[in-house]
Amino acid sequence: MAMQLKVNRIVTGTKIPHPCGDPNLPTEADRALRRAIIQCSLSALQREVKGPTLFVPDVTFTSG
Amino acid sequence: MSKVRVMHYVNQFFAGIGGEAKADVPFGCFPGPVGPGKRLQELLGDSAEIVVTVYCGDDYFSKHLDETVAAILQTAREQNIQLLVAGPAFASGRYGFACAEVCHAVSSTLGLNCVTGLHLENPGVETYQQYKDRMVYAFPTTEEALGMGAALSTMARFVSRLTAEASIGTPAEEGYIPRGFRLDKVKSDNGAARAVRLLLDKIGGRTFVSEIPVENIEAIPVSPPIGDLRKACLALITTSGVIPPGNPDGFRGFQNVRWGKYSIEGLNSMLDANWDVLHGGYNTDAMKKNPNYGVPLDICREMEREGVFRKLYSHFYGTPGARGLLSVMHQLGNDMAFEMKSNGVEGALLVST
Repeated sequence: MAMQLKVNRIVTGTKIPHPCGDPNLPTEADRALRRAIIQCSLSALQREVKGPTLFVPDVTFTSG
Repeated sequence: MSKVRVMHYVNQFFAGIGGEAKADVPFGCFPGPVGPGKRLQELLGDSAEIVVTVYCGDDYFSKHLDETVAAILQTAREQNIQLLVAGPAFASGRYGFACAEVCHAVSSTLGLNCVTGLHLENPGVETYQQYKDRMVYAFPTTEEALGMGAALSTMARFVSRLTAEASIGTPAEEGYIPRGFRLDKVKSDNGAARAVRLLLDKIGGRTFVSEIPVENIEAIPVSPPIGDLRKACLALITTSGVIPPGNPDGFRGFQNVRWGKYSIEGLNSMLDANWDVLHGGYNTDAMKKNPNYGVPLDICREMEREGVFRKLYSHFYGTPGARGLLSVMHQLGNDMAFEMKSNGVEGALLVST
């Protein structure tokens, strides 16, 4: 949807009800996931883009 | 039957005052039709009478919008005007903008039907589509005034339909430029049957018309990257619906038209304070238990301490983002960005649910 709306820098989050993290994970793993998403967002802010671009954090999303 | 009393708005050029050199003439009016209004009057015949022509220089209008609009409204009241025609303005930007603004003011303040003519690429079209007045109709014209005859015929024909109190159909039926809202209509067969028929037509390569056209979304100008993050002040925004307890700003679960900003000063995590979550579009259980999922304050504080970026702005921004109207959301986003810039924020992370 963000692509359709032509947002220029987009980062994949976990799930709609919890974009930054995963309540099904143990606390520390949840925080690590959140950190990876933020880290990816910060690198997106520093990247030159020409139009809508998707950035995917270097993690495995496991939430069902 | 008495004739419907029409006011006609034109710019200084079509009022016969002068060209670009006279673009700063203030508001004025003439009794009866002037310039293109004369041909318009012929086309309207006995159904309507142009009782007054109001004009304004294109530059003057944009510089003195409120004052000019007030004078036009005053004239309309004094003359017991029942309908407004503006332009046609063709592709002339300032003139088109003036026509759209005058139509909006007359329609929204006096509750009158308004008809104008604009080239599809006239910036006035955007103004017209932003206002979405149900009683304002803009018809597409040629780029140049060469198309005056055709534009006036189209507009006059439609004015006659309005004065005859005909029931007005969709843009496709009537020919006016879509304003961007949906009209309810009762159909004899249900949505499922119509959807299947559309799909079959599409697969079969036949022509079909969607009942809900996809909005044409314009590209957003790309912001340059942040050079040195270690020197940057960042802000958090969320559309997840995280708000202070008790909803002090009166947000709704969906279609919000406002935004708020809330202090996170002195907090190391969203769990250090109480928050509510109001959002009509997803299950908020997890967000209520841990609002860091929507406002990732815990990790951002950690990174701020590590010096990854210079500073996290003292407040987070938000509006519950369910079923927001695109035009309204554009406005809220603009307002937030303006506010952030004036507070020295150089970048933002927006968490969307």
